[in-house]
Amino acid sequence: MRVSLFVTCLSDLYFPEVAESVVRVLHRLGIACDFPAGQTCCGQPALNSGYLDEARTVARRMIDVFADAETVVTPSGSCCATVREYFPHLLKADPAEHRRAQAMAAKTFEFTEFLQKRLKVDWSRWDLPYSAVATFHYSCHNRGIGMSPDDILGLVRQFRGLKYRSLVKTEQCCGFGGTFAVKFGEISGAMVQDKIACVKATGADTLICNDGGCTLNIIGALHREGVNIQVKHVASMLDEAMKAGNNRQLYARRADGPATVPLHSCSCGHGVTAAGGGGAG
Amino acid sequence: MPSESQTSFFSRITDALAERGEPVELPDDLEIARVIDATEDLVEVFATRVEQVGMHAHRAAGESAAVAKVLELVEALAARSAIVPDEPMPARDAIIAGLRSRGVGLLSPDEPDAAFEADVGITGVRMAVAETASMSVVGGGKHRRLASLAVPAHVALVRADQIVPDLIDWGRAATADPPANEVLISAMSKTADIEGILVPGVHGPGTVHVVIIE
Amino acid sequence: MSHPLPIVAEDFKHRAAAAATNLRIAEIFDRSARGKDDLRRLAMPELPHPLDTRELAARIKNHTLQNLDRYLDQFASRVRDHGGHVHFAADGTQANQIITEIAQAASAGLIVKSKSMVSEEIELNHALQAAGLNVLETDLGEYILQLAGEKPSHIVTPMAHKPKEEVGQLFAAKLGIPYTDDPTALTKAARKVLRESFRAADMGIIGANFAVAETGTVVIVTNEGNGRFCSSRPRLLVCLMGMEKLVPQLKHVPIYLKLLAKSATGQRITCYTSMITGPKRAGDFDGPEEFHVVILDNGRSHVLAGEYRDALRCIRCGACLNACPIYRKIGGHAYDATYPGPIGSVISPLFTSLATYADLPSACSLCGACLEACPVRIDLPTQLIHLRSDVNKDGHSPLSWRLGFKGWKLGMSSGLLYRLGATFGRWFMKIGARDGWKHKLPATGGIWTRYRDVPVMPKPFHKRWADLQKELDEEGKDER
Repeated sequence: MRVSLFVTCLSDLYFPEVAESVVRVLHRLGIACDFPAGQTCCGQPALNSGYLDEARTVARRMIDVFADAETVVTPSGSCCATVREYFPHLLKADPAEHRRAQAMAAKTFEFTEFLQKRLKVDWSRWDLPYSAVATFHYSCHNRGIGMSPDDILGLVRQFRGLKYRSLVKTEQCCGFGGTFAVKFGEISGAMVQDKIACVKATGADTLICNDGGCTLNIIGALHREGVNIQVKHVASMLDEAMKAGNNRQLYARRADGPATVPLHSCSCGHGVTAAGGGGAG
Repeated sequence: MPSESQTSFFSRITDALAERGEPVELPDDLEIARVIDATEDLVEVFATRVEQVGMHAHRAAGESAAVAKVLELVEALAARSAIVPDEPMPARDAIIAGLRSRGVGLLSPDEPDAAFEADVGITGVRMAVAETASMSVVGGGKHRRLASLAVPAHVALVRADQIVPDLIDWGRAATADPPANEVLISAMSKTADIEGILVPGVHGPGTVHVVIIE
Repeated sequence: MSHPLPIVAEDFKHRAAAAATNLRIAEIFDRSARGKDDLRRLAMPELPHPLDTRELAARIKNHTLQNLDRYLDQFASRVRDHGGHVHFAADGTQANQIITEIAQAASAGLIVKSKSMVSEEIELNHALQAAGLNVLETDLGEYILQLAGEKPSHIVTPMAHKPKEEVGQLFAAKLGIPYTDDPTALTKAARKVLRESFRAADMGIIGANFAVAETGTVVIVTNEGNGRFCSSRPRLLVCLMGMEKLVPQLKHVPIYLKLLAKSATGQRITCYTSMITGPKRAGDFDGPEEFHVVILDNGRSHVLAGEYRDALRCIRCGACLNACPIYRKIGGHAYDATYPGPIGSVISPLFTSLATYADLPSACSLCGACLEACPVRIDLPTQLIHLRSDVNKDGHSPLSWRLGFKGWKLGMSSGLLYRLGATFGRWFMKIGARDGWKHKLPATGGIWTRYRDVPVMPKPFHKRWADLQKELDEEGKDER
């Protein structure tokens, strides 16, 4: 299996470590990752603001950039939802374009979704290298890709060494919403304040979040209020846990065959590295 | 009347539907909405759900036990007057005789305001639905719409064989020529308009007793 | 009496801003709306196939809307067969006139009215009162609002915004009872007034939750039973309905009854469901002698024609309002529309004009909670995106935004320009930053930094990619 990373503009510019973790984690799972050059944005800001022609242009380009990709993985739920939900919708007028958009949608996955639903990774094999009391922010766009709070929590709660605290109003948006946050600043502000009040009330020291937009919003509000809670992407935590030594155990186990890490395309040789990894590129 | 003509009203709709899109068939897979099927103990399901919404279920073995239960309930309600419409209802004569012998005033159903004055209304039902604890009460003929509504307490008699499993079954039993009025009574009259606090008996009965005759 | 939650600004943006910074509004609507949303989540799994059932409800409505001319014709014929009168109204003014003239022709003294959002939409009470008619709302919440001279803040629980203390003061002033804030005592006081009104009324007005084409039946649901009173006791009955309320047959009604109550209040079914088929028949003891149905267009045919047709599937359960994080923050009044919340942000501009409600479609973070809640699966987020596009195309959005997105498109259409922009942006963000954070951004960004700080940008991923590859190569060698 070969994965092409769609880093998303927000992760590229603000959360590059998250994208690095995504690549590392995939690498350790034996999946080579490439990074198609020239990628920019999926068009979400224009789409959400109702500038559909502009969004369409950028979407077409995005499809071109990933034309050769076998599987596209992205660390952002909202960008994934844009590709999956809206690319076919935006490009439905022309049948040929519509087919390409559908193909793009079919091969694009959000990172945690990819691990949970495609690779079916058993996370309980990894210990966090530190003890954390964590709660979890459910990014709204996970709805659009069919990941329920329970789906992601099921993943997160498998970490050994992590104490999970449930968050009230889990299903309630943090108030980001792209340009919404500056068009309706007061509403968005009230929403993020509500969100961090809920996070504070859990007593957690770590907030797990798998979307760049939500993260930028929430860390900004936490910093403004001087609240010392770290916000972490699932990929970063997994990276840390793997790095912390259990990776040896993982590699040992992986020799057992696909039961622990069922990489369906292992045998077809599409860029899948040998056990131990030969590196991407 | 300043009504728009049907023709011009419809012409806007027909214009709007100039592009109807791909034809959508009228779905027939209503069964996917089914909650209760016929294999379940319908009396048990119905009685349980009657209680869950705050009505009271009483199971009576046979009509004479039902009459005794109705009279007991009327006494417990301290009702001094009752309205019993002249409608198809199990053991109506026995109930009336029992009420008379206990000195409960029987208001004439033909008096338009009787239901506003009575302490209790006693009625039969056309059908009951286990899923939703609903009782179908029809209007028309000798039925009295207000006998189950304007009274502070309603006692309904339901024969076990009148209970259908699911609301879907009620829907399928409907004919193409329904009565002028049918109501599904599925709880007592209630409101939560003031701060979401539940208050029974806002306009209609605050108490509903369901006597199930097995 | 002063309005408890003063939201007086003229335009939506300012009303919304005022409401969003009013903690009392947030507290009230968080409790009431989120409470009902939780009840919905608890109730829905009772259906063995909740999503399939919602899709089924959507398909039945799609079919009906697609053949609305045929079904509406069938419905009207059946109502007439039963001796009822059918009136068609192109807009609210016409509907108000029709109902006023029905009341005047019958010399109706007291009119009792059951809760109806369509009647709010056309401001029916206002028209009836202007004609000297005496109309009384009988849903407890609507009755209280009528006494207080306020508008509903929710389509199902209209007085969600009003605390019990205010009801107590209102009843003391208007009904002359001693002050109490006990909901049971207040409800009893209202019951006394309303019972006498039901008894004395000449005319009842109801809405319709559903209308059945095959039988000419109108279906109304109420928990309080006021709908039953209004449709049973007075000698004259008028049903006002939007033309989209149809379903083909009675057997389809259960699907909606199951979904409506669960979505609205978390109940299995509403307490009372009345099926009204024409006036009372020969030999019937009770029921209205005269029965009128007023079928309203008021913008609906326009919606039927376009890409927003799905919005006409709405059964007015209010689930999208309860699920909406924006509604929970600003409440219903800030919208200044008959239908607030997500469905309102779609149908308010469509039923009236885009110019009147140009800001509503943007007042949404596209979180998708409304779609997740909707029992008939209306894709409200997508409809809102399309309305935003309509707003832009009609020139209701600022030139700076329109030009901005043209520039954005240019930047995002070239990897080189994007990377140049990233470098410039990173450099810009460093100016005036302290400890890696910026506390104030210029221009529109200043709205963002009103509530949040912004971290400076680290070295972007696209400049780290080469190093990362080297790192992974090394790790691979170690493992071997």
